[in-house]
Amino acid sequence: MAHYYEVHGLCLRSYLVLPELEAQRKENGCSADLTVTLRPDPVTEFQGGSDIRVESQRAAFRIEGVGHYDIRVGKEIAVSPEPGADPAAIRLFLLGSALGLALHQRGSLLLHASAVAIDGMAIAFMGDQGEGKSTLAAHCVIHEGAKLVGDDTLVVSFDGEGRPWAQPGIPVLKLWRDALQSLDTPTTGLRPDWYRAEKFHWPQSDSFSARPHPLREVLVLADDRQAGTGCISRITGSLAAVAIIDNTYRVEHLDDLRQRAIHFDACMRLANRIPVSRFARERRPSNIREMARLVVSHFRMGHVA
Amino acid sequence: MISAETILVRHSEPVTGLVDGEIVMMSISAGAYFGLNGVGSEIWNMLQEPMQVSAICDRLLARYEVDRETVMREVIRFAGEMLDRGLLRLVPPGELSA
Repeated sequence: MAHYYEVHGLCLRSYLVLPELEAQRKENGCSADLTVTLRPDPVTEFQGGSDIRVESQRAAFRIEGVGHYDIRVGKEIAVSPEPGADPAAIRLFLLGSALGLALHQRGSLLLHASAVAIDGMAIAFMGDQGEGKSTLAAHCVIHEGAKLVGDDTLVVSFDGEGRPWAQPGIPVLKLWRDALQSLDTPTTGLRPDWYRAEKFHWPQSDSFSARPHPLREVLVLADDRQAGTGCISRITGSLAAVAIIDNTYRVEHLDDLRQRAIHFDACMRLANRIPVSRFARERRPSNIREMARLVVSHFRMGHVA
Repeated sequence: MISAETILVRHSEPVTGLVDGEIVMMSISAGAYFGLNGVGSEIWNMLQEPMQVSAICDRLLARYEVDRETVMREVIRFAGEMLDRGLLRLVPPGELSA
């Protein structure tokens, strides 16, 4: 039986139950953009272990002990689990890497970013792995009343007037143990991350906003010992555009020229449309709550209705 | 070695975008992206046709409050980077007059 979900602005028809996402009723008018099928036959591609292959409009990868994923023309993901694989791990790579590759094939702008909505408008936090995107988003949600739009990956789409929209992602925050402690949230009952035992998946429901929000600003997080609790400064011109390009989710997986040209164009449109700023701050756990407050008041000041 | 007499021209036409008047390039061959600052963007715009380094400097000097030595240094540095990326090429003097 097929199940329907909405994620990253797509309607997903899945033959795998995905409890990480909120199920949609088919009659809600969700017509499937992307179908997830289960392929029970053994796959012989990548005999050597974990590996990936990205071709034009077809990508495949294997995670040893989990399964093989075959992604075609942005419309189909076929999953072949390995015997005894943990179902949660199968879904983790499906909703992560496999969905990311499918979105690239579709020409979506997929940023390596977390996003929250404040007063109905979204702000995205970009930065390298470990730069604190999720932690900042979590503090904005818990202490500042923001809604989570997405964690770690964010699809930005453009409407007919060229306005960028932040599409809701997966309602889960991935946080390190110390970040959870700073939010007084015990790790009991939370799933540890596949790769990093000290990182946990914290499901969000009421604090998650499942609708698209106008994206109004992008912050690039940067560690800076001199900056204290934070300093937000505008980045302009080609630097702003390159910051967006550099913070695309797995930009190296944009395979063919068509995909890369579409992606480049989307980055230019975004850089021309909304402010890109650098948020320099000294990363100390004691600073995070103050940083969230700073970000939210900065955002509100810039967008007085 | 680039000097005042060196003649430069665009060697390839990468995919480009414009943000706040600055050019961003996607180099198809190298699989790399990079942005030009304001002056770099101006030089790139001049080099649709072959142009001597000294002539590029003259044009920039007419627009900016800066000494010739600084401009020359900047143009040579920029030209070196763009030559390395295969985006500019050197024009032999004979080719230009022909």
